[in-house]
Amino acid sequence: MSRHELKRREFLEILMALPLGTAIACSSEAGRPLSDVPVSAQEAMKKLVRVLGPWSDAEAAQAEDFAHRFVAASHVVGSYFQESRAGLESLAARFPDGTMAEGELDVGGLPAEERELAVQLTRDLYSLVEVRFFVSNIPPWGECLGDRTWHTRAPA
Amino acid sequence: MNQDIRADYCIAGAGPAGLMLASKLAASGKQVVIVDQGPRFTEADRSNMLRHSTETLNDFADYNDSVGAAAVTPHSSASPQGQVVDWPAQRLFGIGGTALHFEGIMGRPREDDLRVRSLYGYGRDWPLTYAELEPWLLRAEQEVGTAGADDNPYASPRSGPFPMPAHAFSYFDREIFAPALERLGITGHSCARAVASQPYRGRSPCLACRACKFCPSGARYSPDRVHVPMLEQRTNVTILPNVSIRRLETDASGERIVAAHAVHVEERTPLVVRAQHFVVALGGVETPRLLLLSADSGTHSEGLGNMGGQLGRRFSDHLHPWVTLDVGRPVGGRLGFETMSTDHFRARRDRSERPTFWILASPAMDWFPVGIEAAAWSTHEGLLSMDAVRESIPRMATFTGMMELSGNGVLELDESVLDSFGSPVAKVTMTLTDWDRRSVEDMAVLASRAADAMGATNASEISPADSGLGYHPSGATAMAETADTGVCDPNLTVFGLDNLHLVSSSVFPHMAANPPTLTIIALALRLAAHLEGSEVL
Repeated sequence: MSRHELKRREFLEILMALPLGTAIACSSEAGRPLSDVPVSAQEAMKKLVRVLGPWSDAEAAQAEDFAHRFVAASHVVGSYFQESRAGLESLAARFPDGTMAEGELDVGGLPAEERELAVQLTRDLYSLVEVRFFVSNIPPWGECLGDRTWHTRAPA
Repeated sequence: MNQDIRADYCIAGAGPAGLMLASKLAASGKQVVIVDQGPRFTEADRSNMLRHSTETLNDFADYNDSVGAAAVTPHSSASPQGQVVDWPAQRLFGIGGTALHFEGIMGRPREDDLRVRSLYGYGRDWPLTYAELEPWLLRAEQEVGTAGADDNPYASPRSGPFPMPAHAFSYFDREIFAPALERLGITGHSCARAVASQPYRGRSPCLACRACKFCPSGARYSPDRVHVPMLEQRTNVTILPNVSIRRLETDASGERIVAAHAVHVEERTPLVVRAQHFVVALGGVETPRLLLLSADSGTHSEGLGNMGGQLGRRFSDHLHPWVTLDVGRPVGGRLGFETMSTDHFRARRDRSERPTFWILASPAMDWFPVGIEAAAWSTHEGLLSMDAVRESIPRMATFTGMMELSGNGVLELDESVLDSFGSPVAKVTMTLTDWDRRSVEDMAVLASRAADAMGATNASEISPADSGLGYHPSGATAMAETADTGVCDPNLTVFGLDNLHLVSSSVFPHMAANPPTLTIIALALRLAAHLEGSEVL
């Protein structure tokens, strides 16, 4: 399967998963600035993954790719969508568009559901090996380094 | 229409034991049939699994994820705490067996591990001495290609060197773990691995990709990459994937097995294998289950070799508790596996009071999901610091243990749960005694002291006492001198059935705090020699 086909399939899956009300709202809001259009729970999740993730502005494309896969990964995301659509959208709305790598969250000031979501999402995000390797400046999992002694070096 | 196959040897189970045995028996020119319920995975399958794992962010993707449910036999389990142990998540069905994804730790038993009843009053003694087993351990290390070093002061004597040098200690081992152990009077030493540290019999050395489960370089031993290709070249060997043996048939006298009755997993068409010898090498759960499912109406009415009521008794496993640490400074990279461990607590002399355990530690980031601890340790007074989370990840290390158990579990058939062929699944009931739990208490104390010695800034609680069950089922068809105390004799021949043999962790009378695979392979090599008429005792 080509990368193009994969994206198309995932895009269709996301479309199919959109709640009917949101889909109608999106289509009826055509022409308005994007920031004014109500976002879906999936878009809220992608936004939060970018905000909480370890990426900088210069890594926007990488953050977007990761967020895309995170949202598509049902084993990670499934529980959020079952019960937390409103909470996700509300939490995401607290961050301006384009925000990345938020440094500090005042979770104490958030409503209980949003506070739990923020902490849970942080736990899940930083439990994924890809993010851990990114944070640690370690080459991607599965990429052979051809150096049997690389682990002996002092960390930079 | 029935398919009827005849052979000299019929081996049920194409895991490391069955395939190692087959590779030796086949060299004699005898006709060998190997039957396995799972598929033959290809290199393309491995590539796809690794790619899919990355694309879907599923660090726990595994070989049986896409295999049909009929090929992966479920089981049921229970513990006094009501915990259901998920053995199917760890044992694999396929050509290569669980060694398809194993970590390749080649731990040996110690001399006293084989005499725990005589020396310490618990478990069962092996009917073999360490001196009798050791030459086979050495051959097993050579067969699988083990990297190791003779630097373990706690190990029992070796009769020869490792076939290749150990992997270099990591930065973490050298600068953080070993000094902390030293302050506690403990020696850290190399951890023998079936992962090539240099080119070995056509295998690449480890290329540090850290995806050991799929091992793109082929450095880690996997039976389907090493022994299966050799077997596939031979005209006297038939490997049958996707075929499930359902029952072994005894003759009228009840003294021999005459046939293995099997079914093609997909087509559900029957197949019968008739052979001079039958070997069951289905691992620690399915081996005793097949013997129970093969009960006849005569001598073996309670299951094959169960005249003494020992079949399914004394089932055991290992506990694998862990502690996560924030060491307070970057811990460096991990080769994909631990390069240092310590047998210090395996050599303890107070075993009557406390179980032995094996300890290892390493950078955590490619092994344990550490986000839970990172988030908890970065939340203060209502503020969740993402900067603190990101900075803590490269400082995380994990302290893990492998704990000996007394072996009080029971494996039996669960008539209320049937597999896809309509047969009862195995039900395992584990019982942890107070003695069993003491090693976890000891490790909690040790981890705390080691954390202090490392200068760690945070440490998690130790995982629950019964965590980590499910990796190393053993003991339910133990070898013994008599049928009153086991299911098979020291040559692995089932009591009362002189052409039925067993080889798996299920034949261990007792499993100490070392991973079982090396010993399983050693026993397979020894069984091959016995079947070919060599003196092995």
